[in-house]
Amino acid sequence: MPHRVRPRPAWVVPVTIGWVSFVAAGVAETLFFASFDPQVLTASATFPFELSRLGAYTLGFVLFWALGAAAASAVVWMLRAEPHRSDAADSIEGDEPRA
Amino acid sequence: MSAVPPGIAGKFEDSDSSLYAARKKVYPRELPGRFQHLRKLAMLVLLGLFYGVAWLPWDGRQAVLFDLPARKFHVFALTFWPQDFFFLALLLIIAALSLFFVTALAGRLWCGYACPQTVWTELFMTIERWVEGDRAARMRLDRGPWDARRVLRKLAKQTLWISLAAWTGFTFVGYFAPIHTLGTEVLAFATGPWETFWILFYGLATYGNAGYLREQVCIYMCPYARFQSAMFDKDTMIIAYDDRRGEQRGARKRGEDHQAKGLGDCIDCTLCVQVCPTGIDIRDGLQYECIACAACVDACDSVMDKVGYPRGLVRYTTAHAFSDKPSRVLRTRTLVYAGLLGTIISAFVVGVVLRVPVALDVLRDRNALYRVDDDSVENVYLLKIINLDSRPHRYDVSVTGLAALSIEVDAHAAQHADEDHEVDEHDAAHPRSARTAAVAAGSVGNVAIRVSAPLGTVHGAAKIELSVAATDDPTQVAREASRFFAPVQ
Repeated sequence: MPHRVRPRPAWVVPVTIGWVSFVAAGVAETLFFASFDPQVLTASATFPFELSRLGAYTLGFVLFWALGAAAASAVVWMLRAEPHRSDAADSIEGDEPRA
Repeated sequence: MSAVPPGIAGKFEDSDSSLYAARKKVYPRELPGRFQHLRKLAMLVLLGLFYGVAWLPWDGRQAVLFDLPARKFHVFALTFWPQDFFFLALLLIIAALSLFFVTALAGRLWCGYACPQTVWTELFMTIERWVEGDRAARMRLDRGPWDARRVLRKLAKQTLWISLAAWTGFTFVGYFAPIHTLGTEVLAFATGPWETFWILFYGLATYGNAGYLREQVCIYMCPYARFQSAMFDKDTMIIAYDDRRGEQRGARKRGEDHQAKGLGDCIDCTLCVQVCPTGIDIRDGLQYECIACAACVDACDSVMDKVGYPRGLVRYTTAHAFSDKPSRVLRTRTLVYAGLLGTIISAFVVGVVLRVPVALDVLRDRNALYRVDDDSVENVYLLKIINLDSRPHRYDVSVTGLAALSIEVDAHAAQHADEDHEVDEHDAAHPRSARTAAVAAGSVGNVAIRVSAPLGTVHGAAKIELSVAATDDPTQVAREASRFFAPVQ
């Protein structure tokens, strides 16, 4: 089946990673902070840690976002770097001229 | 089912080498028409709501405020707490189902009329048109040299764009932190670091999305654009070019009998292409890039009027109507969506109406399991009584589960968590008694209570249930299970 892919600009991949992980971070943020009050969390940290609620929400969001973006980037990279029958293998076979 | 009809399918068959392509900037031309008036109206209403509602007062507070610092969501008369997360989830499901339902019925109405991406893009384009002129003038300006005129125009546009983006960012954050306070802080350049971050972040996102990315967000980034075709069937309203009527397209002289020349109604003026904000040609068939803004419908209608042909060469229609079959509004797909939607909306409304505006959390005293006092055993609990109502209440505290339990509200330990509100200590109608606690509207009352039982009635541990009931409204009851500890012997 032929590709039915619209030619796309190069920025689409990083921007899509950023945007999809942004949405995922929003969901994670909502679920997490609806269950836990950041003020209680920071108060029970094992090291001195002071952060306003708004600060904790922001930091939490950025962390969720970074995590999602890292995972998505890894997926994209691994799919792209999918080992095809490598050049090395080709060259070994290529030593024997075929009819 | 594919959103791409056979006519266009071959167009994007390509090798890897052309997978990446530079974007050709789209300069949409503006032509007025009935659907464009409708879109303008929708845009004004939606933008008005966004920029305006943040300033509405309600009962001495902001009417719509998702007060993140205080962990309370105010929506007019209602206040939602983290405990009400369920309602938020329902609301999101309702939003998603509504989108499916509308899509099945009327296609991408959302994209063309209501999506923030479209609405803000329209707004930014209106400014662009206003400063730089119409389509031809904008193209000339961008092709021309960087002379004083061009610099001035671009400078003016950027100033307006950036101000608008900043105002948008400010308004957005104003839904999450009280907007009046925020406004004062902004004027004094004294916003906190987090507010500043989010204002800039959202402002920048608006500027980039509406000013530059525009239709590319719909084409490359929008998940809805990818899956909307799954909701489509042959009775879904779409925008289509009537190729049977239009072809063979071509130029003709005024008053000429085009049918005799073998020509259809399309005069190939390409206005439908020029007005398209996503830069496609509707005459190639239904494409997933089409956001159903109907700009081509209006453009074509205006041309048909001019040349004296009937309107509707490009029109809202359905696949069935197109092949001269009747279109049905009621069909399995729409009935299923409508049924689901109706059920969940009813559940939401019933849930909100029947919501008991009091919640109770019970924490056991961590210092001691129990205290033996002469002939009784005593346990201490900290009650968090959450008054979700919009007025203060006094609550009766009671305990059940074991016979001969007695209870005492620790007056000295009764304290208030929320500094914003004063506890109504001198409620004349309900004088303070040993077993009641007052909690102000929309706040949490921390109340310590001592529960005691005669020594020897409990061995080890027993399950008990603590409950609070509003003294002025017995339907406002909250219960919470806990445990009562006593010596094993």
